[in-house]
Parts: sequence; structure tokens; C-alpha cells
Amino acid sequence: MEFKDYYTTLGLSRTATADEIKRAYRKLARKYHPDVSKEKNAEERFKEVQEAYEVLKDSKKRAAYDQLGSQWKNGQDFRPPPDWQGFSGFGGTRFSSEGEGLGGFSDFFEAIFGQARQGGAHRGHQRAPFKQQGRDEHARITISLEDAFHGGSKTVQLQVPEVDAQGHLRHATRALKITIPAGVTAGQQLRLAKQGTPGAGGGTPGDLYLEMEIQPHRVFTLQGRDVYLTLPIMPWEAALGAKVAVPTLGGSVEVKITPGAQTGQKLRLKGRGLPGKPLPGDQYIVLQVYVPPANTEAERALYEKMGKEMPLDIRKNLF
Amino acid sequence: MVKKDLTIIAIEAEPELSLEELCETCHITPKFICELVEYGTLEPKGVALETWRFDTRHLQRIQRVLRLQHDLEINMAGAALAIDLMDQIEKLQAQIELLEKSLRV
Repeated sequence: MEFKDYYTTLGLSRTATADEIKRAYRKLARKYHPDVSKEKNAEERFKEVQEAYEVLKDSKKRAAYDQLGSQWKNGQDFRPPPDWQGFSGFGGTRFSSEGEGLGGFSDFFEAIFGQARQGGAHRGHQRAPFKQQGRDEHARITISLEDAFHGGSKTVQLQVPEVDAQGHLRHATRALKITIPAGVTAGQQLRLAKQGTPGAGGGTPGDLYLEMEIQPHRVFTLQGRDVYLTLPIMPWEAALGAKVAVPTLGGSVEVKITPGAQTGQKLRLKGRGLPGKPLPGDQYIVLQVYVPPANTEAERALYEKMGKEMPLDIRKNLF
Repeated sequence: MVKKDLTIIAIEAEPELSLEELCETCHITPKFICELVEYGTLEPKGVALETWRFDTRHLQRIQRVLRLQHDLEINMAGAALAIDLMDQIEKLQAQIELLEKSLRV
């Protein structure tokens, strides 16, 4: 397993005081908190920071960690020393809160400090196992806008903590095939009853919550249940009106553009957005007039003719 | 250790929770919820406490508040403010995306 240099993670020296550790943690926690941060790998970084703080804030854990020595480098292949059982006896609060994501601290942390928590999780070694409800789990999945519109099935890989026969907590990969109902919106959570962590001693499993993330689409933009489309039109279509084929998530429809249309004009296709209760979303079409370049002599002549026939001081209001 | 375990699950669409169910799901007290409703962070359906109904979006906000409180050591008012600001940022970002798209064509 990889050695974790908790001091490096928090940007501290090995001689840092408790205050310095707290300050460094607070700063980095704000920076990388997955709810707040827009940084790349925020979630991963946050977990690392949390793990480092979990160890360094606790003087006993810190002392035990320091015992490993300063010769180790971050990411270096690490084997626990032969007498590493000496580090057990820590009651760890491992998860940030009931809502925290799947997968906890690193294998390194587990190897050094994990024992005590497991001892807590299955004190039942000596006693009869007590009945305990499993934890709720949370994960995020990304689906296409088309899937959000039509509904569909998707297979997701989940890292789930699992207690094996020896009572050790491990991360197992589970594949779940999920039927997504039509009309899910970005950020919505779906609940999969009893698909969370299994209960102990015959307790009911927790639930699994899946947060939907919708992939950016090539042409459509989503706002809640409303779908936006920028529709390029030619100047003569704008001036004279036209019937234009427009894509919607439900297929192509014909839209009438009234004469005198301008860039920025919005048209609404009622009920053509994402399905939903009480009402489905709408599709909005934002017109954008495209001015074709004058490449040939004939094209130039056309523009010149327009200039002569349609004199208009469009900038007069600027002065 | 990789365990393959394929299960097909149909998801129940939009489960609605009562105050009691919500507290049970999130392991929090009704007082906590009431406070969040007072701050306007949660806007449940229904007028009276007994008829309040919450959906998964509310659940998500509560989890967010819990995470912020715990991880960043901020109080309820701070968490409520952070959530308001995050909502605003989300809206603005959606608008920016929309505008950028309409300018790019």
C-alpha cells in the first residue's frame, strides 16, 4: 500500500503545532469541500485532507503515526512494521457525516488505525451480534440528456464498503443496473431502497441515494426542466419569415418564424422540455441571425444592392 | 476484491417524505428541520407541520447542511447562507452557459 504523508497533505512541517494543524485543515477543507469547491478532484483531495486531519488532530494518533518515522515519502510502497498491532485501540470517527460519500479513508489509514473502528463495528465477536440497520450510501451518476428525457437503464459501478467473513471492512465493486425514470433533473436524488450497506445481525440494509448529473449536451442547454436551443437563421428567413425544422428531445418539429425576427428573440415550444409533474418543461428557441460572408462577386453585388435599397442608420441612437 | 453483482432495480420516482420519515432517514431531530424551514433553506409542500411533505431535493439540502456543519465547523445560519449562495452561483452558471452557447454559433 502507499504511504500517506499527512504533513505534506496539509502543507505542514512535522513540527507543526495543534493550532497550525487546525488552521491548515480549515483552510483546505473550505477549498476542497465537494459541496463548495469547483476545483478538479475536489472530492478526492478533500478526503485526503480529512484523513490527514483525522490523524494529526488527535495527539495519540499523531504520536503513533510519527513513530513510523520521517523516512517515508508520500506514495512510497509501505509495509506496516511487524509490531504494528501496537497502533490499535483507536476509536475513530471515520465518516464525516451520515451523508458522506462512498469509500472512506485509504488502505494505509485502515492498516494503521482501522482496527479499533472495526472492533466497534462488530463487538459481537464475543457477544451475540446485535441488530443494526445498515448505513445509507450516496453516489453520483452521470447520464445523458436523452436518458433524462426518455428514461432508460444504466449500469453503474459502485465502490461499497463491505464486511467480509473475518469481520474486516473492505471495498467491493458492485455493478447495479438501474432503471431511470423519464424526466429526472440535474441534482435530483433517486432512492434505491435497501441497496445501501447491509445491516448487521439481521438489521435492514440502508438505502442507496443516487444523485443525477446530466452531461452537457452538444446543442441543448438545460435549466431545470426547460430546454434551450440556439437556432441560427439566415437574414432572409428572419426578414421574410420561414418554416424551419427544429430539433427537440422528442424529435424534430416544424417552427414558424414570423417576419421581422431578430437575434435574441425567444420562441417557446410548450411542454417540449423534460417531462415531469405537475407540468413538463418547455423548450425555448433563441434565434440568432447569421450573416453570410460575401465571397463571390454576385454575393457582393447583393449586399451592395441591399445597402442602396435599404438605407438605415442603425447607430443613430448611439450618439 | 471485486465482486460482481448485477441487480436490476426500478427506481421509485420522487418519494415524498413526512417530517417524521425525513428525520428518520437523515438521523436528525424535527427541531433541526424546523430551523431550516425558518431559514428558508427548506420549503416543504403543505402548510402545517403535520402535512409537510419533503422530496429528494430537500433531502439533498439537509445532507449538504450536515456536511457543511460537520466538515467546515459552521453553524446553522452560516450553512443556510452558504446554501443560498450556492443556489445563486448555480443559477448564474447556468445563465452563463446559456449565454455562451448563444454567442458561439
